[in-house]
Order: sequence, then C-alpha cells, then structure tokens
Amino acid sequence: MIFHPRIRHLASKGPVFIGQGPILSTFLSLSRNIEGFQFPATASANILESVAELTLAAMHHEDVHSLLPSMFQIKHELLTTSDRDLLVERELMERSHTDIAACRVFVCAEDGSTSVLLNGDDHIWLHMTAPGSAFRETWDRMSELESALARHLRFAFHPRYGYLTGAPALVGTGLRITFLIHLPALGLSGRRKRILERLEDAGLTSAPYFPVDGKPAGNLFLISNRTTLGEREEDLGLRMTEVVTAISREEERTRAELISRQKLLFLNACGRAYGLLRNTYLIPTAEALDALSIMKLGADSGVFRQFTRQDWAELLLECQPAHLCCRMNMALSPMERGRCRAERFRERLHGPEAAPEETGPES
Amino acid sequence: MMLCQICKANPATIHIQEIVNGETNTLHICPECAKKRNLAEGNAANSHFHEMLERLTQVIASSADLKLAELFDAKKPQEEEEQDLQCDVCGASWHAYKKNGKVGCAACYEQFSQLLLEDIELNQHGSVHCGKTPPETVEQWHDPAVSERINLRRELERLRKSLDESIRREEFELAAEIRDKIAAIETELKSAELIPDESAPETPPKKTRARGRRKSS
Ligand SMILES: [Zn+2]
Ligand SMILES: [Zn+2]
Repeated sequence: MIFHPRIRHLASKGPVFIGQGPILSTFLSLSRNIEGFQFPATASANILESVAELTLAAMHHEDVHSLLPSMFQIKHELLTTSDRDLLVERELMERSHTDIAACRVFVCAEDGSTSVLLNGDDHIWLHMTAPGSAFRETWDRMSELESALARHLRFAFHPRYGYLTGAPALVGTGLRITFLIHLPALGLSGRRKRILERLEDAGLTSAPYFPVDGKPAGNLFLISNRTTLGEREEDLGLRMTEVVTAISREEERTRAELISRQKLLFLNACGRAYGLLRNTYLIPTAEALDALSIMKLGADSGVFRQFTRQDWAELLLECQPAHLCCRMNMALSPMERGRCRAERFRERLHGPEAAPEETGPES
Repeated sequence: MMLCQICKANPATIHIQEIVNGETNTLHICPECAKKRNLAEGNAANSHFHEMLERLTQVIASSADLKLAELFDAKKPQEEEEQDLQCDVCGASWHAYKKNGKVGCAACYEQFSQLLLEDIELNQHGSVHCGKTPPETVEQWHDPAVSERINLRRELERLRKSLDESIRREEFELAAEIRDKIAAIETELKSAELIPDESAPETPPKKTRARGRRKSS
C-alpha cells in the first residue's frame, strides 16, 4: 500500500481550484505557538510530544471539534512519500512540511477544506482553502477556529510583536494569505512580468505555481503577503483582494482584446490544445499544464460547450504525479506517469461534445 | 537584557570571543567580572590598538599606496562576528537566525531584542502588532491527564540531565537509581499514549476523543 486510506479518500474529493475567471483559489495559513514551550526547530522530542498532546486535547473539545467536520489525525511519520506529495498537490500541506521530523501530526477535516500541521515550523499551522477570491469568508472561518483553540491553549504572544513565530518573518499576525491566479493573456501580451514585479512595492510577492526550468508552466501564479506585522488581518486581506482583483480585471481586459482582434488565432490555439490532450499517448507535466492553460482560457471565454471549470480543475489535479500514482495505486516512473496522464486526458476528453464549438465535427 | 554568565546578577555588557579547540565560544559578562578575570575593557582595547598599529606599520611598509579606508573596512567583518549572541533559554544563536531566518523560542525575541528589532523594522510593514489578540482568560492545563504527562516529561528531561551528571562524576549507584526512575516514567508515558493513530476511516474513536467529549458536555 503506497497510500494511507484516509489520504486516498481525500483524493476523491472535489477540487478547490474552480474559481470563476482568473482568480482560482484563496489559501490562508495561520501559525501559532504555545506559551512556555520551545519552537519546533530547537525543542526536544519530549517537548514536542507534549505540544502535540496538548493541542490534540484542545482540538477534541466540542467547540473546536465542531469547526473541523469529521477531522482525523495521522502521525506524520506514518504518511508515505506519496501521501505527502498528494497532500501538497491538494494544497493541504506545504512542500517544506513534507520532511519527516519529530512529533509532527497531520490533522485534516474530512471534506479537505481545513488542515492542521502540528510541530511544523511552528507548533500549530492552520490551513484553509476556498475556491475563487474568498478572503473574507475564509478568514472568518479561520479566525473562528483560532479563537476556539485560544480558549484552551495559551499562545505565545508579545505586546509589541504580537504572536511569536519560529520565523520572525511571520511574527505579528502569523497569517499568510495566498491567491492562485491564472494569467495567460497578460503573459502573451508581455506585460505580466512587470505587473508582478510591481507587487513588491505593495509588500506582496509572486511565484510561479509550477516552476518548470524557471518558467511558469500553465501560466499559474501564487500571490502572497510578505509582511505580517503592523497591519490588521482584515486590512491586509482586503488590500490584497483589491490588488488581485485589479490584476484579474487587467487579465480579462487583455483576453477580450486578444479574442476580438485575433479570433481565428485564438480559436486555433484552443483547438490545438484540445487536440493535443485528446490525442496524446505520452505527455510530460509542463506540456500538459500549458495545454490545460489554453483550455481554461477557452472554457472561460465560452469556446468549449461542454468543458466546464469543474472539469478543468479536476484535470489539473489528476494530471499531477501523486494523483496519477493514487489512481493507479502504484509507484510510477516519469515515463509511466506520462503515459497514464495521456490516458487520463484521452478518457476525459473523448466525446465530440467536448470539442471547441467552431471546430467541432458538427459545424 | 542579557545577564552576566559569571555572577548571573549584573547586565552583560562585554562580549568576548574565545577560541577553544577550534570552537568559537562567546562569553557575555559584566565589567566587574571582566576585571576579576583580567579582561578589563581597557586591556582589551589596548591590545586591539596594539594589533592595529602593528598591522598598520606592516601595511605601510609593504605597500605605500594602500588606502587607509581599506584597512578599516577589513576590520568590519571581525566586529560583526563579535556580535553573536546566544539565547539563555533555548541556546539558539543570532548567527543561526541570520543563516536560516529562525529563532528558537519566545524568549529569543527578548534576548535578541535590539538586533531583531532592526531586522524586523527593515522587513515588515511596521514594528507594532495591531491584529488579533489572545482572550483574557484561557483554560490551559485544565486537562489533568495531559498536564500530568507534561510534568512527567519535564521530570524525564531533568532526570536524564542528572544521569549524565552522575555518570560523569562516576557515582554509579546513583546513576543506576536514576536509570530505574527513567525507565519507570518511560513505561508510564508509553502505557497511556494520547495520540491515537488512525490507520483506517473505520477506526473507532479512542481515548482522547471520548475524554474530550465528556469534559465539555
Ligand atoms: Zn558578573
Ligand atoms: Zn531562545
């Protein structure tokens, strides 16, 4: 067995990357430490075990438990490499948290909306995901969960610095807000780099979601806050929402312009992307992501009659390495993955009803 | 504020680097203890000055057109190295923080206060927290089983230290006694594991969950 049954079950849940338009999803993570215990980086296994027990006891109180629908907990060391990769692909764990370390415990709500890692970089790491641009709702949920925990655990807090974290880069609110955004048109227009660079001035930062050889495969980007001290959580979140919305609008404006000016080229690109995925027998991740990026552009613009955002989001997850291994229930070499990925695309895009409207067989 | 490592009463204002067996140790002490140790500020400064003079004459002799500024620049890295601090509580060092961006415990924020504040002000939006704050009352420790285990673990840490100590002092009977105590606590901790491993979705609720429910209802 290369997947834990709990984790395998998570893989069958709906995807979270189904936002309308360019903003695909919102991720929030909140770091807290318990007063009187050293941070995980320096603490002994003994101390960390106490931290884990204390936190889990708090989480099983009814007021906390009710906010984590059907939560389950697994010791981190019992998760296989594939489990951990799958959790990263589903945005339930950070890549930096996949290393085995003393007394790490992974806790997750069964619907996959909330996950918690104990003894990662900090004692407690709360993480929530939501489709589309959804800071306010997600923060309300996050804050409610944190408040419930704070009724049972005394968090390390400093009157000047706020919540104390292992990394002073997170001190203050301990809150990291991230938006996943799809920017193909701005990429084509050549203005994307400059726009993303200007985020630095606003204390924000961007990174490719799938960096392949230094290039942002699939035109997907993460936009996050760089600072956590000196600004209220709500103010930061609303400021970021404004910035991300402005970028999204610019992307949509550029798309409209592109389509109206070069409709034939646009349809050609959509049709070719569809044709590639529909007929491939072996396809590497980066190529698949780039083709999927054009498919999404087509889906958002109403080119594909029967290919929905939901279909797209499912394919985006299904074509990633750990999800492919989970589907086949075995470890796969890169070559085998390329074959399984292609098989999955051919299966999902089989019928003529999914073809682009203008190039479909009926028209 | 950091206290003198010798008298543990006065503020440590002198930081001396010693190299013992190739390892660099930093000693934080107060002026009084420094005097006692014959490491008074004046002496240290004097020897510094001597060293500088010596190097200056060497440099002037070897190359006449070397700029004086370069000599002072060359002095800088050494000064920075002398600034390394260590947290009294967790032992994390300032240099380690500069390398990996992490501190070791809540006390580090006080221990490295001046240096850390500069760093934080440089990288953050502001230097004063204005977000969410913890509630006034927290019912921490109210779960007797959990706090008992935490106390047992603290005792375990203490015993392990005294075991090392007794072995070092060759008090073997005492060491054997401590070893028995450690074994007893370890068995006790193991017998009541509070973190259940859920290996399958069908696993019935275990101890922790049941107790949690009963307490809150
Ligand atoms: Zn002293
Ligand atoms: Zn410390």
